[in-house]
Amino acid sequence: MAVANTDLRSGAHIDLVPPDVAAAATGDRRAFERLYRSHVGRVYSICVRMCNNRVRAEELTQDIFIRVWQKLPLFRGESAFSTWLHRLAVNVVLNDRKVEGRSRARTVESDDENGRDQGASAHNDPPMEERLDLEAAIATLPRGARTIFVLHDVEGWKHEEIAELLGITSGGTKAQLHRARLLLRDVLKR
Amino acid sequence: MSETSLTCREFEAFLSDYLEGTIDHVTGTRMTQHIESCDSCATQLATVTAIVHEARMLPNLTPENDLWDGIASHIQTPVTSLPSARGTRTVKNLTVAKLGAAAAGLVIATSAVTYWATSSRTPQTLPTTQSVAAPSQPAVGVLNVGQTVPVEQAYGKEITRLTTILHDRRSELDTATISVIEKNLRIIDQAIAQSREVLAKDPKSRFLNDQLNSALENKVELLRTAAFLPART
Repeated sequence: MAVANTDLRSGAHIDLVPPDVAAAATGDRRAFERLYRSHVGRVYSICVRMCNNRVRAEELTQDIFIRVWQKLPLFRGESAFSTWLHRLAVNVVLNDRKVEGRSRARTVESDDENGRDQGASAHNDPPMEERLDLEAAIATLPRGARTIFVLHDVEGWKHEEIAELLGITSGGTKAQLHRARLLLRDVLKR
Repeated sequence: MSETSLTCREFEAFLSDYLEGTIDHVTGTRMTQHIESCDSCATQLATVTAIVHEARMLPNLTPENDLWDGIASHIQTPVTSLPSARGTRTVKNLTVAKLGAAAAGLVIATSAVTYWATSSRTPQTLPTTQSVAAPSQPAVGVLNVGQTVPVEQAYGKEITRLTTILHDRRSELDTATISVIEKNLRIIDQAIAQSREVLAKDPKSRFLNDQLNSALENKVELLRTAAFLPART
């Protein structure tokens, strides 16, 4: 079942909502599981790279998909489902930081004199190729720079979108991104 | 800033804007000219360009655990059957949130009962027989004519048991979930307290006994649901 709209030019129906999304929105758990299988990798990746903790990332990924299940009936197809999902995921991660920010040990996310993240524990895989080196390097970034680098350079968000989400100026996001890139350059040189 | 050529420090400062094409034409031209004469900055540009490119190409990561079971258990709560004075009732798809809503409604109902019971109305009396069933056991007894029912005793043991389980599992549950559970328990305890207060003035009232019975059942249902929530992974 797809929620359809009519193309004003040709009169043809346009599928605004993918079939599995429409089905899951009506309570079809198998359809929702298919959505989960299709999107869990990217959602989990966002969580890991933003919160720098694989265990917490798994918890957040579960929370995100539970919220997706609850909010699916509200999805109207104004954007692609993946866009809607990933925006929800980012909001969940950011809200989680606000809730647990004070209780988290600040030394985990603190910067040293060079701006490195001393508590990075997310990526313990042995470096085997260049991409893994970059993954490990991202984990060393300070939280603010890491967030913006992940959203902009990894996920493809625009500065204006990031700025609105974080409540800062696009000038601020550009400065943080620039800082992140230079820090990564320094880390990857070694 | 020099009008003729950029310094390496200036080049680095404009690097991101240059990469994203958001730099003004004049500065961009100067950046290009600087690259042509400075190997170090040319290398820096190539390095950062490669980083940005690699970032866009990063593959998706995979969770160590299959998270679907945990998700599935949350989107459909297991069925819990609870016997009651009105016969066996099956509670389907109860979630902590729904029980919270029921608890809130219970407070409203008991508040109305309090108002009603303290106004000038003839108290109702117990029927000739009444069965009180413990939540997970058959009816514990049938009253004879004239006897009042200590309904709290019937539920007290089960509430104590479930509270102990929940306390032991506290570290396994999500903090947000615990917060919701505790909030809803406070609401239900408030309803129980109100029912007790009114019932103390009219202990033989069937209606008021049913209200207290209902509040205690809600507490048991909430505790049972909470005690057997899946642990966070």
